[in-house]
Amino acid sequence: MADSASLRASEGDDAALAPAPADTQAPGAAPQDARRRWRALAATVLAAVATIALADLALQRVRPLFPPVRHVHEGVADLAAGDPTVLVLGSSHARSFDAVKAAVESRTSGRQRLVTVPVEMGGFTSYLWVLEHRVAPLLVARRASLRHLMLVTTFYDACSTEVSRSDLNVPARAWTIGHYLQDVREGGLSDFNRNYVRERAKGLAPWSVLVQDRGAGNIAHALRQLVQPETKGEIVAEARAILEAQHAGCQDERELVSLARIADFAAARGLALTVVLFPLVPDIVSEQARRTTLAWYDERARNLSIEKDFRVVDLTTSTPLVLGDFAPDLDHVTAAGNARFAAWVLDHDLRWLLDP
Amino acid sequence: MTFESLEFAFFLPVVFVVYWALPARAALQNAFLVLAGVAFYASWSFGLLWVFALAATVDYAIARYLEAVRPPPGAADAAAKRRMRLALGASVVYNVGQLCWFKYVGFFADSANVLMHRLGLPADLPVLRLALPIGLSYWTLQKLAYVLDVYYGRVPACRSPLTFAAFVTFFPQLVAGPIVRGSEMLPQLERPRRLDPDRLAAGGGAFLLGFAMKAFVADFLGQKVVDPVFADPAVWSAAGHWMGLFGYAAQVFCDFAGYSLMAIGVGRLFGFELPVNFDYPFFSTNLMEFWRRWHITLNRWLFDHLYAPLVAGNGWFKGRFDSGLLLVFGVSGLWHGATWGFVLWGAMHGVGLVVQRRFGDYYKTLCRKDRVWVQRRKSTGYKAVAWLLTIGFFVLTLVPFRAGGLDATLSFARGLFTSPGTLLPAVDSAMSLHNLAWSVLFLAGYHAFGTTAGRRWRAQLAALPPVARGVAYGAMIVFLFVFMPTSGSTFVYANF
Repeated sequence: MADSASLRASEGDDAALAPAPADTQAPGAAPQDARRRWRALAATVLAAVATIALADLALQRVRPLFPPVRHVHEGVADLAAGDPTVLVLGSSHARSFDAVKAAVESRTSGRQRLVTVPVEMGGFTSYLWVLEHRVAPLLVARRASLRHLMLVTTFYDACSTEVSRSDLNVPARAWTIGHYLQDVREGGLSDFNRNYVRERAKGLAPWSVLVQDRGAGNIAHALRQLVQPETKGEIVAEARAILEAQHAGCQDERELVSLARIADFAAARGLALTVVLFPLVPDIVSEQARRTTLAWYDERARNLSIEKDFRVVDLTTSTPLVLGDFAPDLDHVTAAGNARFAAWVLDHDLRWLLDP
Repeated sequence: MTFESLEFAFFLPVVFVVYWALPARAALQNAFLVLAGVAFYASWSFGLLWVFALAATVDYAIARYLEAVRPPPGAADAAAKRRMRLALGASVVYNVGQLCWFKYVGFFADSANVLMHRLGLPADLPVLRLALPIGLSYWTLQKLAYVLDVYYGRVPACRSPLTFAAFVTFFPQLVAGPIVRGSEMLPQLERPRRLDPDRLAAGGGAFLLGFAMKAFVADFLGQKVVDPVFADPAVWSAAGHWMGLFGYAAQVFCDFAGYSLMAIGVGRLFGFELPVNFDYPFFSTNLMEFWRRWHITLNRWLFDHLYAPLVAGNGWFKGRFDSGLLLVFGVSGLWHGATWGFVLWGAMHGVGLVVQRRFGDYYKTLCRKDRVWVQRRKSTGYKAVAWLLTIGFFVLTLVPFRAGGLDATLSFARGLFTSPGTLLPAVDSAMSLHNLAWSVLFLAGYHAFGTTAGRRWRAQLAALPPVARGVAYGAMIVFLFVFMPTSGSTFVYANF
């Protein structure tokens, strides 16, 4: 029968990785030997660091670092510092409105002032959090001129990912250290509040593509492209299939409850709410996607707009943007595309922005 | 925070630097380790820190009392021995009671309600759902073993409250073991620690290997293979069920063996040697060997403090080896969690060990009659069949372990043979397939290094110039940065 001795690990287990404990080594080992061992350790560490640094540089040739982009905390800071008339809140697509902002402010000689607050990966639940926790205190303090709240959305904002995953914390970029500490105090360190640390940690190494890409998967994708490149047609077909499939995962009524609360938030503060349905690449919008994924969201948004009295501007496929105006991710618009977009919307659906 | 979390990446360097910047005096180093352990524990459950502190105080006091009233060797002081038994009983009641209160009170009340309803009796016992102090199952066993060792005179009671506090709060093994003995840790804590480059290198290597096992293999398999299949088995084909089950075997191994290696690695960074917890369990050719190689520190606890005293004592269990095995694995099942799935898992392993013991006895009679049976046992064919049966049994018993309830277990077991679903996990994207292939390669490579030839390769690798080893470590870190999954996960065994 087994006893404790026989239950001990047999030879060759992972303790083999261990050195003899220092206190069992020969006393008074030669100082030269100690120096040699320290040098060996230093060489190992330096070689590891050099390998990581060289790999980082090499990977930047495959997947260049993104130029810095505007994030939610910068938008909130601009709101705190200025006196805008229109608050543009949305996911990364809200960045396209920086071009609109420039055009509007130039054409109205500054009488209409926009501030954009892009919440990366955002959905209605995270927009509501930003409004309630970061924007509301600023509105109480001052911002006398603010009249409009423009919500830049797509069908994706009603997907279930955000409300059904406890580890996803989209507004983490908008958190202050106070929000983080409060959350830790209430529930300890968690996957949820870890997002805040993760976002802040990325800021410590803006020069490293390994750090910046952590979790995004762009390096892995770029490496795969090197080995097995996809054609533009394949990428478009894949995006089309994803859009059609998201019919199943993007009908979350809980997200629409957040949209209703955003409407209430705006109404309570006398802000006119406009919900903009941001353009998609026309090539990926199939008839099936139009009938399913997009129709569901469009119908819900319109019904809610009647109930809560806000405006819906559907730009999904009505703008002149074409495939070439979009970035390779087929989601975001290029700088040239943004300029075309701004010029077009100010002549059409968002003309009212020029009439403060 | 877990060892693989980002917070730990900030916590560890700070604690490491401050610890080694202190003068090399045991008291100072231990005091700092206590601070670090409390901070580490508080990051999990600040509100339940008092449970942990109180339990440590109780056992420190009881051990000191045991030492104080112990009669001199050879003296027949019945009153002193009675006082010692009472003190030991108090520790057992306190520790086991605390474990039952936090972990099992809801389960037993729930089960009693179900049973009484089935018997047609009115029953509505209140079911408490208590927050579980993290690591409770581990540190309770560790402290209990210490008190038992002091009682039997195997270790002297620790005189310094600081040393004892460092023993129970040592953060590398606080949350999920390895469950260390007083005789393993206390002497190390009583000595001042000095920086040693070889120990640091070995600690870093063990940590990196464990990190890769956990953060890449276990997390990938968990997220892309195991969780989807067990969450909704009906949509997966029978082959998908098998992938989920084998994936879980690999996940739970890499998760816990990886955690244990990280704990050992971090321990070394602070000048300590923790006991090994896994020793290539998938090489086992019988169940007893398997349990000598899997979660070694828990199983030696169960055999040292439960099985051996029972079957070698004077009670009803004396000489009843089969009953002892059933009891030990029943307790092991319950230790893992308060669900009927774990109880069933423990019962299956208890029965498996009894069958194996009986078969061993029968086989011995065959060997005595004809020596050809001895030769057969040494043959490759016998070993292959024994290995298949052992690992196959272990993998199949993971169904109740992972599925949870009895209904879910039966449903999943049916799905292994026939399922209406058509899907296979982890084949939906090139990236998943890539990570699946690397996970399989990693596991194969890890086990290859455990073979006789592999040990030679390992020695050759260890003899590589430092720069070559550094390049290998760096390449591994780059690989992990690019490919390891991001979404948060905890350690499977931290929940037990």
